[in-house]
Parts: sequence; C-alpha cells; structure tokens
Amino acid sequence: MVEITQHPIDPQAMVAKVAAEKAGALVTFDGVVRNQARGKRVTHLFYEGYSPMALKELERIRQEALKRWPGTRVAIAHRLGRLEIGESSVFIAVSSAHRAAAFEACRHVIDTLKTSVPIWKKEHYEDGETWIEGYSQAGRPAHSQ
Amino acid sequence: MIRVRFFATLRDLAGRGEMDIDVQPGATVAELFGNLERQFPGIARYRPILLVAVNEEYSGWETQLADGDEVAFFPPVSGGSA
Repeated sequence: MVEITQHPIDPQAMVAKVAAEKAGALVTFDGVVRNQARGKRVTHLFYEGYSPMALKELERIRQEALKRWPGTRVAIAHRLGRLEIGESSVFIAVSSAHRAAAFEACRHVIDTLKTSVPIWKKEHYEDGETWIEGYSQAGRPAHSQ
Repeated sequence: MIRVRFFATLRDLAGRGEMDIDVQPGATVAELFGNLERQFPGIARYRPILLVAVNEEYSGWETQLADGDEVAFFPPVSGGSA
C-alpha cells in the first residue's frame, strides 16, 4: 500500500487498492509536475530518494492516518527519477465510509509526506538547475543555494 | 566501519553519494560529521539545517555510533508536489 517507483504511477491501480464495498467516499490527491516555479520556466524535474527510509516513512504516515481516521484505507505512491511536465510525482488514494474522514486523511498524508519523507526535487530550467530544499524542522526557511 | 550516505545538495558538495569511514568506538554523529567536514569543507555551511538518519531512522547529533551503522545526512526534504 506504499510504493516508491521509477515508473509512471497508474491512478486506477491506486484507486483499486483502497476500493471497499463499505466505502462511500474515495478521495485522491495527484501531485503533478508544473511548468513553472519561482518565476522560472521549468523544463522537467528530477526526484532523488533515500528509498528504503522513504518507504518506512510512507508506511509510518499511512499507519498514523489509519489510526487517526479508523476505517479508512490508504495507498501512497511516490515516483523518483526524471519527470516531465504533467506527470504525477505523488499519488494518494483514501477511501472511507463517509467523505470527511477521507478528505482529512488525504490532506494529512500529503502535508506530512512533504516534511518527513526523504525525497528531494531538482528543478531543471532552460538555463540551469537547482535542488529545492524544504523547510527545516525548526520551521524556518531552509538555506538556499 | 560506518557507512555514510549523502543526498541531494550534500551529495553534489561531497562529490559522492556514499563512503565508508572508521570512527572511534562510541563516537557521536556530530563527531563523525566533524571528520567529514574536514574532508569535504563545502558541506560545513549546511550543518545548521541538515537532517540526520541512523539506520534509516531520524536521529540526533548526539547519537552514539556502532560498527556497521549507516548514517545519512541530507537537507530538508522536498518531495511531493505543489
């Protein structure tokens, strides 16, 4: 139910993982590569990960969501390597009996993932490239290059 | 022997993603990083924001290391998307 992959993510396969007859709500989040960032045109992205630890962190986040929103089913996939504009870098699928828990759990998973899963994004532009750093644990903007 | 791993900017600054290094028994993560700073001076300015993992779990600078441990140093993470 958690996956780190070098290959394109299949949304239908992700949805199938959380399908359940008692689930009346299905919420998905699809994180897509966009063509601009920080006022610059982005040509493509490269994601690097510390894969074994990233998998553990994804599972930790999943278990936390299952505990906090009982009865939900949660699947998470993150892609690594080179991604083109419009491709999915991360996909989260959550099902539950009612919509509130599914929305909340999905939001929690993506927000937590962005601060704790050891994966880094490098933005490539027409005239260069730069590693993007997240926020340090103290909540201050990270050092930039 | 400790296996050291660098990711993202840190990998670029060190010019390598992993290496093995000997440390004194009971040395801390901070002491290990001190050794690495001498070898790769470019990484020193990153210390205030770096995250540390020992054996694939988030850890602190005062953690004592044992033979065979894997220690990863990396900048704040930036996975996911918008």
